[in-house]
Amino acid sequence: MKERREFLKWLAAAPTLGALAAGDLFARAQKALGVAAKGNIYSRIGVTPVINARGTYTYMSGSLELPEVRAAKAQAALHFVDMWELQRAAGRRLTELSGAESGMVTAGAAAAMSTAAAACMAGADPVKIWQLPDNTGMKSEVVMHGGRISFDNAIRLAGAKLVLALNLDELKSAMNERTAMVYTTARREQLEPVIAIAKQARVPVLVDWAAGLPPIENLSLPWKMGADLYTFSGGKGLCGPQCSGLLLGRKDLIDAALAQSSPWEGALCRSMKVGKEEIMGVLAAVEAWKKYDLADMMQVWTSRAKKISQLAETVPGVASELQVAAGRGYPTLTITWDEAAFKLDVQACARKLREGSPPIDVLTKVNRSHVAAVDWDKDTLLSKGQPGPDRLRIVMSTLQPGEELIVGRRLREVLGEARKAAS
Amino acid sequence: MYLTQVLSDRRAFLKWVGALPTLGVFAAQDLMANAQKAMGYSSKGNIYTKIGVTPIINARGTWTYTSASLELPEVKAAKQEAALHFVDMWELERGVGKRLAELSGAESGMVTAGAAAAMATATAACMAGTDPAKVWQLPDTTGMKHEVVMFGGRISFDNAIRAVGGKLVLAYSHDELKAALNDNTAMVYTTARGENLEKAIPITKAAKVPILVDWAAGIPPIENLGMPWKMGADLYTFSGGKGLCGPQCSGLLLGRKELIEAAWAQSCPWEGAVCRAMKVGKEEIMGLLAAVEAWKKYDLAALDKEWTRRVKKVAQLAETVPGVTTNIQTPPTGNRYPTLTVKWDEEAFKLSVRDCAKKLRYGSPPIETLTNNNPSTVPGLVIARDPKAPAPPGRPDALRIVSLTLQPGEDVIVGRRIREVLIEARRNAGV
Repeated sequence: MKERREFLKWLAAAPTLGALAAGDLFARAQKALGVAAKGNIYSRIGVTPVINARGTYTYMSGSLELPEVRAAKAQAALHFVDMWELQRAAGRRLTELSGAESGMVTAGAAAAMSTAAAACMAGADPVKIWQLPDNTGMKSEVVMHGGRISFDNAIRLAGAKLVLALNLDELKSAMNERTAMVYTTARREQLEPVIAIAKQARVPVLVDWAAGLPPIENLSLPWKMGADLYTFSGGKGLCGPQCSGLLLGRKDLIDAALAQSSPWEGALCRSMKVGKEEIMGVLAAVEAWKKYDLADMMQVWTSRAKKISQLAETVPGVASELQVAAGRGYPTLTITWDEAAFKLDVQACARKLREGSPPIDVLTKVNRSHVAAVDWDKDTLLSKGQPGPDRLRIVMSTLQPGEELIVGRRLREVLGEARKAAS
Repeated sequence: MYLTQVLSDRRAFLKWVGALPTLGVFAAQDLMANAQKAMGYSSKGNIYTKIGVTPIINARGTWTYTSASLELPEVKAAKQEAALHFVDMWELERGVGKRLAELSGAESGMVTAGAAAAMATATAACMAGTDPAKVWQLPDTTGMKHEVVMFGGRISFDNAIRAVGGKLVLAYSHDELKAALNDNTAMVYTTARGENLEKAIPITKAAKVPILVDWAAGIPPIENLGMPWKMGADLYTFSGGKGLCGPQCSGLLLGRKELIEAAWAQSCPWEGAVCRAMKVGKEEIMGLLAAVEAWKKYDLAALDKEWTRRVKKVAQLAETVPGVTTNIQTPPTGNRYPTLTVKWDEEAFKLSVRDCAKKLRYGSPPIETLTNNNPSTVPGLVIARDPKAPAPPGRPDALRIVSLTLQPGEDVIVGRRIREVLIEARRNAGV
């Protein structure tokens, strides 16, 4: 019976395996990745491109820009513009697209956190703007609803003092006349009471949904829910410029946020510069997503994931599951096996994939880009990672066409080898 | 008939003759339509006009508010190619660092989100080093050296240093610099050049305090890429979006290997690093590298000739107006491109420099010129000026045209507009 099940898996994988046999997959992969004889812009300085099966992590260089984004960046590079005029116009267009009162482009979601905090502290007062991060005479507390996050130095560098509120009661009691802003990453029904409490205290709330697009409907959701300010990263699911982000919300607050930003000399967030090309690029990304059919994309992602499943599952004892997390716009494939029996844990498998050629980066519980002190184990000085069991996951949104075969084949190879060596 | 008026003066007549070939250009064809087409104002419009933004002719130079510089073709190509692949950002940092070291002669280097980001990153590096607890603790500097001596005084970008926790200590002279250095000094910051810098570096060396040299607008000439290193600077920075004509939101931080490694530890892609918000993408990193490589190959003398030719054309047209004089000079320090100054009797013409600049800016196409007015200065900065600071080097206001940012063909448009505005003023004033 067990063998029969394995046979059926082989049968299912046969067309995919056929694709593997038909051509020199590796050479094709290398060509696709641009590591062929001629090399590419990266290989010429000794950098090997990576197959990104991990998702839009900044250390994996975010996302690949949509064709629309690349075209917009190229066109934007041809003309000089007044940057104030450009930010205002981009804001107007973002307003039309999102339904929010106003908007602007920042150098990323972290930059949006700094800019929003500075805006809520200094407003548009020129003396206060230049005085930041010295918060003397300003509201200076930012309530972190849900606790600290690994990006909170973006808020601290603006001069804000963090006040932690792990639940709604703590949030309520954290509000006082010094509170400049509430920061939260809460979603859906968790967000509603946060907004209600902040509204009652007349404190603006910044909703950080950095990786919240797609679905593009989320572009207006926080506004509809009553958020004063909210942000998305441009270089994650949006597939805009890696170093861009959106800050949307109330007009008076966006005006204040613009006053803290480049091109102002003497503004706190001047160092978080975003270029005209990146502004037009992220705008093009939003426009593109408004036209995309997410259901179509979901189908493509799902069929790619299926190929990986098929290939991995040809190794007896390997199972896989495709999931779309609630509110997320893309599917993730989880691969499981008996780690003890295979004598191969998730971390070891991930390492093998990463150190192979071409290198493949997969999602596990460990985030290598955490500054160790954010979540380290004081004895080992190593990052503890997220709580819960470790799992090997393949995020479909960053896999490029054809790479599913390479990833599936490598998984099959690594798991097959481990199983053989362990038996 | 103003033509007769113009010709009534013999000197003006000779100038008129000198400008004839140039004037011929716009007699022969509809210059405005050409210009509009070149600037993408044609019926179809361009990416900016579609959202209601009018591109400008940038005769002011590489100011961030005029969107800095236009990327070199090499930069655009590199950005496009870089967008095709995923890379590990740490690996990219190291690869680029190695290449920048080869190109500059410095031990190492990195790409930041601009010169202001480089100031923040350098300061954080000099305070926290690579100690993960300290990296995460910033901008709280408890237990760290945290004073940054501003040699030359405060600058309008110093919140980049203050944001990461640096406490400013001001020093206007070499003696004050020496006296300011103590156990709490993390770094010395300066925009000094030449002899001023040569004298400052040994003082910081003796105190074993790293110095950051900010030459944001210092390239071209590309030889400056290695200059601060040769002079003994520990760290130094250039903007990528100024003369380099790389991505607007990029900059170079070069210098000692251990300090650049500490600077990496404060930067993207680290989550929990204080400079994470100053993100720079793979495309912008490769774009800036391409700009440096391109300048290594460019012939600055040939470029200088072309730049001079452009501003000369503007000068010729402006000088057809009696009473208008011009001169072309290249600033000796930063922003080293031929720059044209246009002068007239402001009282007689009843037209101040400021008014003339305004007219140029509000014409079509809009032309932004260089004057003493910097509209991008946060007003609070002026209000809070240090009374001890020496008065800024005053120079009388003048209308200046910076050649570098003028695009081919725009010289004629700018010259014609200046001529138009000045003639009009002269006529109205009844000169």
